[in-house]
Amino acid sequence: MATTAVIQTENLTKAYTRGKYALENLNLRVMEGEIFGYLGPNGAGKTTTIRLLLDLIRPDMGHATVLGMDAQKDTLKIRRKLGYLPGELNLWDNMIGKQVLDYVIRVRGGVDANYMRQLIERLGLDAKLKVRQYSTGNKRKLGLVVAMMSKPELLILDEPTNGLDPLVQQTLYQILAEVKAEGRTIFMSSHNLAEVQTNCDRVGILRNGLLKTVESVHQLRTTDFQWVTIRFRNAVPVSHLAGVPGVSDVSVHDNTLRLRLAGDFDPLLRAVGDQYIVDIDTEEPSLEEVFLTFYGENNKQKNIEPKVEVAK
Amino acid sequence: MTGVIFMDTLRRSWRTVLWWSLGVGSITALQIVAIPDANAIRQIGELLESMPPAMLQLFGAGSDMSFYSTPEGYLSLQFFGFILLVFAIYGIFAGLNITINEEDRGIMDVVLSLPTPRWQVVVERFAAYTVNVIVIVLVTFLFLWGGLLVTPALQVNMQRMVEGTINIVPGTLLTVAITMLLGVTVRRRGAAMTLAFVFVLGSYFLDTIGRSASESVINQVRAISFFAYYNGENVIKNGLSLFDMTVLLGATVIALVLSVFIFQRRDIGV
Repeated sequence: MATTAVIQTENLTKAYTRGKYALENLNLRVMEGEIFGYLGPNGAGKTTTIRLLLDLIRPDMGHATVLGMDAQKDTLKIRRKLGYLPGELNLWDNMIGKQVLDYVIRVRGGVDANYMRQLIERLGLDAKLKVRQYSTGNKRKLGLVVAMMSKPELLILDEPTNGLDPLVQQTLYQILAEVKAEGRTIFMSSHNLAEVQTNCDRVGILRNGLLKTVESVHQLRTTDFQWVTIRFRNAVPVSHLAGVPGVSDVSVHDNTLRLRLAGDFDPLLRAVGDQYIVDIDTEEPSLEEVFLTFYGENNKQKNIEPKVEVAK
Repeated sequence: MTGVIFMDTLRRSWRTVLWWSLGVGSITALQIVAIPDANAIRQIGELLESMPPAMLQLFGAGSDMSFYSTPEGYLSLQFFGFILLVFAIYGIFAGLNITINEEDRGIMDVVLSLPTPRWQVVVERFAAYTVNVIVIVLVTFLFLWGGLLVTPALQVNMQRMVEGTINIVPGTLLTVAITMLLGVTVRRRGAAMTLAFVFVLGSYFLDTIGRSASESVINQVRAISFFAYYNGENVIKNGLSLFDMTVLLGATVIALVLSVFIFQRRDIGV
């Protein structure tokens, strides 16, 4: 991975009301050429972060650099090299799509008309309609063309697939992969875990204005816990599992035991070691499960007394 | 790129300008062609003289009732007396279009994500609406002129008519600028619009009530009303007042500078 940080924040903080932080001490580095997923539920601070990077709002504390430049002082230079899709895209209702694109071309200058036409075609945008006639998905397509047509060094996409149908989503993922292949950087916020799982290199998880973790997608799915399925020749020794460190969510079906294991295998294997084991299978958690672990009120990673569920 | 927002604003507002021009122009022409001859104006003047002065002053009349028996006096009361109020309504809607309408609808995020400085959005849009105001005023004058051409009985001093029409511009621009300033300050479209209407109507009534109560405090406070510096009747009688125009244009520039200053520094859409 490249070593140049395209986005870097130091203790970036924003409070809209006194004492209630929308974003608190954000320290983040997004590297050149990566697709960085910014995950969090509504109100977590994703859009606040993006609006701070774009200098639409000003931080109460901290500092941000984008493309090596100060997010506030050099905002114009930054915006020349940046494409942005807002989470809630609002445009001039009376203008037709093409007029919106023409306006952006005039303001930006230097837009590759061929690339713009390709984007319009691939995303299936009808640029002849008035903005007010667009469905949510079509408006999103227009916003994506606006953000991407100048081939910016950095793309900031706030919930890019909101309202897009699955086929267009796939096309967009393909376009994003091409952008990445060209060495450009994408910072995309999302609460769609599958989308992040498919497209991103690294993920930052945000909750209540606090950055909980930044991990590679792969690492995030492997570091925390895994699902373990053990098939015994005889009855499952459920009573042996009491107090085994890292074991939770135990369920039994016939001679098969399924449980969630955090940490090492050894305590589990010792606990059931006197039984004949036919087969062991492990399965990584989905990103959604990891996500819920970060967000869940009860941290399931703790060593809790296993609650056994026996299927009839 | 410099000038893009200016041109874009003109392009997007030409239909509105056309309708306003035709609307205000029609009112203007009707005011003139509805008068059969100078004799009728004399009769109207005599009728006005018989009415209580305080009541007439509430409708923008001055103290010299004999003036209203002349064609110029008639136009100063029936047209120039209230026309700024009509233009001020345009000024309010134009002022809202500079920042707060787009900010309220979330469009400003897109505008400011492009390489355009905030000051440029404010200044270029204000410049475009200045052009719009001048165009509407110009078309209004053409209707006024046309009305006078088809009504040969009305012989008026055309230079004074030109000056009276030019006199509409500074007051309208001030309304645009004040509304824009309210928009960037209060950050809510509804609140900005309400305050702008309060500003315009408050100024109008402060001026008219102040004029009719020459001995009261309101008469002195009247100086804070921008209608006091419009004074359409005085312009028709004595020509443009450099002082009054400087006050209105100076206040407009101050409101513009303050708007840029505030918009440059504050959060957008919060």
